[in-house]
Order: sequence, then C-alpha cells, then structure tokens
Amino acid sequence: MFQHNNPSIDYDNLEQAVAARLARLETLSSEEQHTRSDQEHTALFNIDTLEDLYALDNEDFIQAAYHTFLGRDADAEGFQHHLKLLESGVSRSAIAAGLRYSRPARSRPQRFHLRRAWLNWIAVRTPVIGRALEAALALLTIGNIKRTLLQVQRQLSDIPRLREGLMLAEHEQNRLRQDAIAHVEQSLAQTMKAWQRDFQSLKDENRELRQRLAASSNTGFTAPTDDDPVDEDFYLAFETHFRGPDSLIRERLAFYLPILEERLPRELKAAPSVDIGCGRGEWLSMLGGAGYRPFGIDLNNRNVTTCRERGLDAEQGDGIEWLRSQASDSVAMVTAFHVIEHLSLAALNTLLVETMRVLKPGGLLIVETPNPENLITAAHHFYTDPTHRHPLPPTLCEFLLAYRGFADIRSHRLHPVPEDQRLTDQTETGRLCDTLFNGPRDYAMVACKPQN
Amino acid sequence: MSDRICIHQFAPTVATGDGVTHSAFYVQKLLRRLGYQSGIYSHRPPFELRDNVDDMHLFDDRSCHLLLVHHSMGHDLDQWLTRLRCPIILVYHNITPPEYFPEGSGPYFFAKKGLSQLKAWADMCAGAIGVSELNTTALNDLGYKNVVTLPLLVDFDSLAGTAPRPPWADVCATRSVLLSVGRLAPNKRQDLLVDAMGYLLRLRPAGPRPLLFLAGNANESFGETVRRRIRHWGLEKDVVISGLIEDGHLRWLYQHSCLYWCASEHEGFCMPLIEAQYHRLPVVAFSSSNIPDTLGESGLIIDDPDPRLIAATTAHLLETETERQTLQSSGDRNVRRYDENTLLRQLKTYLQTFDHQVAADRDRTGRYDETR
Repeated sequence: MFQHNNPSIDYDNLEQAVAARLARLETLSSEEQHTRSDQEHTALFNIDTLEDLYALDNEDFIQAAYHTFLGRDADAEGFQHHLKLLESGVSRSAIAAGLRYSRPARSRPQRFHLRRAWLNWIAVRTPVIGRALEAALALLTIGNIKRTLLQVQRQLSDIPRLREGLMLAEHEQNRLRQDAIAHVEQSLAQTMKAWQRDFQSLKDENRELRQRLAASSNTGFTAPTDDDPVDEDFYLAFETHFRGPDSLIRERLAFYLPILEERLPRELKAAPSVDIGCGRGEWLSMLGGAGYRPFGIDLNNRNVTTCRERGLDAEQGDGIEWLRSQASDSVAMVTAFHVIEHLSLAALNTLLVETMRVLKPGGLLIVETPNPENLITAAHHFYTDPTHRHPLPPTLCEFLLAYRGFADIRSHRLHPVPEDQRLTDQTETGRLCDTLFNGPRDYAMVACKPQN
Repeated sequence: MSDRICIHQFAPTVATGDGVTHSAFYVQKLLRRLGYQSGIYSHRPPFELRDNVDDMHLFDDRSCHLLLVHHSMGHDLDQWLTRLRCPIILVYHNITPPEYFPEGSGPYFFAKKGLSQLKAWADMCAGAIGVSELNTTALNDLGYKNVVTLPLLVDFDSLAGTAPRPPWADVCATRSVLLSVGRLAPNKRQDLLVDAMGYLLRLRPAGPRPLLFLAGNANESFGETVRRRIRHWGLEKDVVISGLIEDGHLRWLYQHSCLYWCASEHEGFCMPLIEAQYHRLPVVAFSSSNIPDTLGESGLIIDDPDPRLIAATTAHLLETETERQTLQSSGDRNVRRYDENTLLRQLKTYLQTFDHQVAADRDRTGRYDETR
C-alpha cells in the first residue's frame, strides 16, 4: 500500500487504519450502487416520447410500455405473451396501442394517442376480418407511400437545376477571384514603376553628388576657411614636424609582417592590398618587399607624389570612396594606420561596412590608433593633432568590428614607453601609475572576414 | 575589464513564475556567492525581466569561461547554441514525455525535439547537471561526461517572503484545505485528485469539511477533463481551480492548508513538494518518476495510483494529529537536504573540476596577455 521510506511512521498501524477506511468506502460504494440502480430502473420507465419507448430493446420496451400505459410492472404472463408477439414480427407501435387502449388503461390519464396503431392491433388480434382490416390499412398507407414518392420525384427533378446553380456560383467565384488577382497585379505593377522611377532619380542624384565630390577632391584640400584652418600644406608641415624618423616608422610597422604571414591565407597574397592613408609609403614599400601587391590611397596629393617618386603604386582620393568603387570580394587586405581617429562614427561605420564587402573571405583588416588606456596619450598627445576627433577605447573598437561581422578579432597593445624611462617604484601604486602613464601608447586590431 | 571568471547562464525562454527561470536566478545567486561574474541570457526576455535577463544576442562567448544551459523543452535556438565557442554545462530539468501532449500539437513537437536535442548534445557539453536523480540517470544513459546531481531549484529565500491575505481567502475559511500546486496537465493527474475528493467526502472525516484547492493554470482540454470529473461527483462547491496565483498569495495558501496532495505520473523534480514541506504541510503522493527521490525519508508515498487510497489515507490523517505531526517533522528534515550552504559546497566542488578548461579558455580569449 505504502512505500516504507519514512522511518518515523508506524506503517503497520497506518495500513490497518487506512484499510478500515477503504472497507467502509467499499460498503458505502455498494450501497450507493444499489440506490443508483434503483434510480436507473425508475428512470427507464420515465418515457418522454414514443420514439424513446420504441428505441428500447424488447424486454425493456414491454416493461416501459406497461408502466407508461398501465402504471405497473408487467405480470409474468403478459410479459411472455407480448415478448412472443414482438418476436413474431408484430410492431412495437401495435403492441403499445394494444396496451394504451386496453380496458384498465382507458380508466387512467394517458399522454399518447395511437389510433391507427390501435387498428393495426385489432387486425393482429382478429382472425378473419383482421386480415381484411390489415389489407385496408395497408391500402391506406399506399396513399401515403404515393405521396412520399411524388415528393421524392419532385426533389429529384430539382437536382439538375441545383447543379446548374452550383456551377454558376462556382463560375462567378472564379471570375471574382481572377478580377481580384488582376487588380492586385495591376496595383503592384504601378507601385513597382513608381519605385523604379524613384530609384532611378536617386541613382542620378547620387551620381551627380559623387561627381561633385570627385571634382572638389581633385583640387586637393579645400581652401582654408575660418572654421577649418587645416589645409594640405599645413598638414604636411605638421606631419613633418611631429613624425618620427623613417627608421622608427619602419621598425614599428615591421611588427605586422609576421602577423600577415600567420593570418593571411597564402592564396590571397597575390591579390591587391590597400593601405588607406598611406602617407609617404613606408608600409607600401615593406609590403612590396615581402611579396605582396600593395596599393596606397591618401587624401594628400604631395604624399601621393612622394609615393610615386619612390616607385610605389598610390592614388590621391578618399579611402571610403575608393572602397565603394571596388568590386566585392576583390581585396586581400585593408590597412589603416592612425586613420580611424580622424573619422566620425558614421564614416568609421561606412569604412567597416565597405571593407567587409570588398575583402576576400579570409582577408585581413588592420587598424592602428592611439591607445587611450595610456592616460598621457588620452589626455595630451592625442590632441596634438588638431584633426583628431576623439580617442577610441579598444573595447569600443573591438565591438564595432564584431558588430560589423569581422571574425577572429585580436588586439595588440603597442609602443609602451621604453623600459629605461619607466617608473621603478615597485609598490602597487607605483606599478599602477607606471601602467597608466607609461603603458602602450597605441593599439592595433587585426580581424578577418569570415570564410563563409 | 574584470579578471573574474565569468560563468553565465542561458535559458531559451524565461517568464515570471516559471520554474526554470526561478532556478536560473537561484543559480546566479549561488555563482555570485562563489565569486563568479554571472549573467543570464535568453531569447527575447519579457519586458518585466529585462533588468535581470539580457537578450541572447548580447551574449559574447569570448568573455564567458563556462556557460550553463538550462534544458527543459525543445527549441529552435540549437544552431546558435552549437556554434558557441565557450565550454557548456547542460542543466537538465527534465522534459515531460511527448505522449502527455496531443499528437501534432506545439508542446508535443517541442517535447520530442527537446529529447532529440538532449541526445545530440552529449558530445558538445563539457559536463551536465541533473537537478534530480531521474535526470542524472537520463544524462548518464545518453553518455554525458562529468554528470552530477545538484537540485539547483530550491531558493528558500523566495519561499520566505511575505504572505498577504488574498482576496479569495474566505473560500478557505472554515474548511480543511487540501492543496495541490501546478498547472493542470495530463501528467499531473489532477482528475485523480478530484476522484479522491469524491471518495473522501463519502467518508465524512471528522472536523471541518475538506476543500480541494488546485492552484495552477489549466491546459485547455485537460482542464475540461478535470471540470467534467468535478461535475460527475457534484463537487462544484468542494473543488477550487484557481488559475495562476502570485507568489505572496501562494505562500498564504501553503500556510493555511492542512495537507498537500500530489497524484503526478511524471515529475522531473516536483518543486511544490519541497515548498509544501518548507511550509510544514504533510505530503501525500503517488510513487512515480522522481517523487520518491524528492521526498527522501519524508511524506507518505502510495504505491498504487488509486484515488481511494489517497482518500482513505487523508481521512485518517485529518483525524489523527500525531500522524500529521510526524509527517511535519520528517518534512522538516527533508527540507534541510536542500539547504543552500550544502548546495553551495557541492556546486563549488563541481565547478572546480572545470578549472583546467577555464584556464585554457582564458588563453583562448587572450584577455590576460594582449600586450606584446
């Protein structure tokens, strides 16, 4: 009965007590069953319609008919007699009528009238005349049958008309459906035409704007205004003043060559690699020397001239525009050293979207920018260049790359202050200050376009 | 960036009042007590849970050292899940067998899918936690590695909140309330409880007239089955189907009931049994699925799923206070098995077995040596 899992319970006592209640339940159930079968018995004789009565099986029918018409149980003799009649083929309605119009039944209030069935009953019980009566009654029913036949014939003759109506309705439905489809197709075609017109005019507008932009770029930097004092000459002078010696730049860029060897698929080496903001071409020449196919883009015409004088392939223009004009999956590598800190968020976003598009699967993007984790860089050196917008924390940069679908993003903290200039205080505060002030001053993100 | 180890959780769906969601919050509490950084991610969490659950698209597998994935029903997020690069530990809450749902219905499809996903993920997971012995057995049978039983479900803090008087409290006044908590569903067999109630009332036990309180939402067709049984017995005034009840009112109900009834045929754990025992309710249940394991050495477990046995046992318990007290004491002892500190120790020991994987994962993310 129970699982004996609970050591605190006396299961023998418990099972005894429960068994006693189960036994009581059994007694109560059988009593209830008895009462219920009595109720069911009474319900059996509670007949609402003659159809209910005729639906009962032979024995129940006889009992129910006795109760309905005579208000008592059938006596054994009467029961057997009627049972025999039923078995010999006499109809239930005839037997019911016989009981209904019997002498004891006539003295009782009755709900049902069965006159024709009573005549049938007489016919069944009367030896000679009965046959004739039965035949006469049968003749009477012939009239009924005839009427029914006529009705059926009329209904059958309606069938072709109904079928025709159905076909017409179906045809009408098809026509309406076709009209609706034609209407939708027409309005779709009109909408498409309107969109094509809009699209064409947007394309024209776009082309015109590009032409205007190209025309303005071809003249180099726009003339300085009160708002924008930075012209091409100024920036060249600025770069010359602040940039380090060529050897230092080459030494720093050399860091990336082993990364290319490791991460750029060998088969992409022969495809073009573009360096946006190529400056005077230090990286282009290093790439060429290592067997790559470099190409440079720079806004500054003089830088481009310098590159070309050194025999390097470079073009003056806007890097983003250049990317836009390239076919998808056509470039092995895009590099941008100290470029993204000059861009608005919208432009940086476009740069990433276009780079993702033009890179071949497995191709690399390398960006390098000042590292604001070094507080002196973030608070001071960054603003030495007046064209810098704002520092880009490495986490933001990494998120932007991931958001735009780049994979295998690796960050590299670069160019800390030389060891001999670092703080020597080995206290926790000293080490923290050393990291914050003398830690890596630049960082790079290297990411690739997923293979699939 | 923090250098704390991140152990996040993923639950395909979350909802207020849902058992798996409660479990995820409880696990988060335990993980944070152990010093881990821990977030919960889900597919489109509902607005009211947005403060505590993030959308799965914000999940970054590179910053996660271990991911606990709750599994209690099939879902369509398997492609996303199987592409994650962090080690995964499956937390298996059991799946109601599909045969308890109408063939061709949504729950039927997802129960079947859930079972095939469970089968397919054995190799993918670094470990697995069964929240009950029944689940652990299923995981071992499917070949999962590093399987452990940890009942990561019972947050006693959430049971100990306030218990405001519900507006329908009068229904329970002057009656001996027999409580059963959980959605009305074929595997929970509340129809048998209604039959038991019919038999119990025939026995006319001494004391206030019993009232059966079924607290939980009704599955449409099974709800009708239960209502038909109620009409059959004429128990319209003796059985209450309340629908979903808010936590505070449920606590009130536990506190104002006499006995807890459970006729379930299939339960992965059956949290309400422990909730009832926490509120010192004697428990009468049929022996099925995980129920004997959940009850341990407490409660009364009936071998044969016969409603007359529940009725006869209940009539005896209602009339015998000492027997009820014995069940209360054994319930108290059973509740202590799920004590938070015990569980915390077990969880800590289990997670330590993944230390080497966490270390390897740190190298993978490269967070600790980014500067060259």
